[in-house]
Amino acid sequence: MFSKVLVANRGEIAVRVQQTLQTMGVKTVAVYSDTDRLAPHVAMANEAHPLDGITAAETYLDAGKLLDIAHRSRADALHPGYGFLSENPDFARQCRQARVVFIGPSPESMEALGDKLRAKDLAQQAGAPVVPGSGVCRQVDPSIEKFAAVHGYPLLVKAAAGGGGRGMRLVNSREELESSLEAASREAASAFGDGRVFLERYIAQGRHVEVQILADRHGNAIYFPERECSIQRRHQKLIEETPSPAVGPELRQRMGKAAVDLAKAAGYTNAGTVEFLLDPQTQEFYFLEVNTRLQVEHPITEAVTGLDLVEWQTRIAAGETLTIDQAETQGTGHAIECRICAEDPYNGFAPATGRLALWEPPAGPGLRLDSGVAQGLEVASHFDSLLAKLIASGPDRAIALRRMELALARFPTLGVTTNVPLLMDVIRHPEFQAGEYDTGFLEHHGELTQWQPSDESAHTVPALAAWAAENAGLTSNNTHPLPNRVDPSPWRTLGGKKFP
Amino acid sequence: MKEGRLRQTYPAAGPVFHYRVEEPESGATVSVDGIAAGLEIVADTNAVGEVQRGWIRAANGNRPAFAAGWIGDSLHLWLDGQQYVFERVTAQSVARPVAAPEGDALAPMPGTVAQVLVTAGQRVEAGETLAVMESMKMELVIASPRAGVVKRVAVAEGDQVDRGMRLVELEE
Repeated sequence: MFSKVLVANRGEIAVRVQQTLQTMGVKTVAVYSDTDRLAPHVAMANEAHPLDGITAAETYLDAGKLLDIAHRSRADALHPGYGFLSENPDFARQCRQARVVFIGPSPESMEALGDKLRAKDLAQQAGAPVVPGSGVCRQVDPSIEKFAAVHGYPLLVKAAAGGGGRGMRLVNSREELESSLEAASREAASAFGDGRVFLERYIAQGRHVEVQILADRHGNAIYFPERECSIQRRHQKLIEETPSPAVGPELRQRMGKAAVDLAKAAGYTNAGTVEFLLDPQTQEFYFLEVNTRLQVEHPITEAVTGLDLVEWQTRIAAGETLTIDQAETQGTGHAIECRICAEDPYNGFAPATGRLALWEPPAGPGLRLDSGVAQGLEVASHFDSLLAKLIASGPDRAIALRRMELALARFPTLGVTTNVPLLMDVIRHPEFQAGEYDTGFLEHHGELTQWQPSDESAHTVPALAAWAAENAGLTSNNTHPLPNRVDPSPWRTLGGKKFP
Repeated sequence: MKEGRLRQTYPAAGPVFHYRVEEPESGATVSVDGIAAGLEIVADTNAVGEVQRGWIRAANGNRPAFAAGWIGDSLHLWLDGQQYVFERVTAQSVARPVAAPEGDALAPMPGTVAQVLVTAGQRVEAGETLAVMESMKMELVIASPRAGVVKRVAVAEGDQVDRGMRLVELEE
């Protein structure tokens, strides 16, 4: 086993990875950008090194700096987390050359599967159905025109590299085609250093269902129960659950087998996720892409199986044999994850920034919080808006959902606006409760992203705000100072008499 | 007795309202625009620091928990899972126009200016791209709110901007 691992990431995933490593008795090395020096992932590390810079390109994407720190700290392995350099085969290759074990797949299988176009070819060869798509396109040419004419609008522009919804655009008409290709290509180039994009037929009513796999270097590969990830905004997942309400045992086995076959065909090792689009009417599924890394939503799989995926990633990278049998991966009960993001759900999900003056996560049976922030810290705009992931689990779906709903309502947060109210509204929605939803859920229910004042917000809230305006504490630049008051009884009921 | 005026700015902009808060030993009473709010507030009035915690008993019998604190010039309020932000309305802030000067291009979110596509003196059409911003890995195109001439470009590529900051000034 490794003695020291560099975690080349930030936020909640850098915290979560270090938790497992430290539990395994492995020392951790954290890295940080200028604005992250007080972040929890730095505070918890056995060793921390500055990356001297502000932007992602200057810091967590700078392979040279990361490998230099790995060398100086004598780390024998590197965990890339997700995003940043996690799916970059050149970086994995540089790690290999520097004799630092990259905790993930080989650069070769990453190249084969991480490139969405090559992965689709491999999937077809392994017998998995794929969504019809075009080849690489930078501008509109006759072959693209023809593809659009055959499949009709809307179409989806996707980046060949990377994931996380970046470089992905929905094209509603011919007029939008040029600008969408250009914007997606620019976004992909800046996010992944690879501006190649392609077109795909858009399946509007589909459900996004994915299969977690683990494969070792000794030919063993297993799949886990599927994760349902159809609640998305801007093609980025917001809520995930496992198992999927749309998948039964027979379909689960077929999808799992397709995922494992693909992994074996690609010579894939370590943790990976095979994403499918499921047509709930026909129960047909189509291969979408492989994420050659740990997924954001991996904790729901851990919650139902009791396994630690980061531990297995590390053990597989260290050359150990996967000793989990396919029969042990079934899991029990149900788990759901909500991504808590710093954003305004009522203003097109515009990112929000500020200081987290209050951040008081709920705790209790069946709850887990993977958080990258702490109270008092500043949330800046340089990185992703994901603050934390709340995971609720229980013996069945109804209990998991109820635990989630209660936990979301009992998570006092001040200073940074979050999407929690929207998450609550989705969980409470009758269609979500019934398990009947697809990737178009938030677009179909536009009312959820429009602020609807309730009776409470119309009457109670202004009065409470008025009281708080006079009683709440102050920070330095408030222009309306509060007099120092001395009150003999610290807890007293304010109320009783009505205003005359 | 204390009084003042507040305006909600989040989740949606609300009208200015006037309030009075009376806090005799027997408990506080609050009125909003002259109407008494049948609201009981349980909190620690000696709470030190910037955040007040407690719970309320509303007229309908619900008793949700709340937290509130001033952060800079904004009053942040959390009530039963929902967040609200208010600002104090003073004589100056009433006189101050709520919106920026008619038709300038403002930053819709905090972030970094990725690209500036116009220069001073340039004629632009409504909807024409003036700049591109980046925030939390998202790219946002700043379109011209109207046709006109660029009077001044207030930012440069790589600049950090706050929400509502003027990016490009326009004139007829």
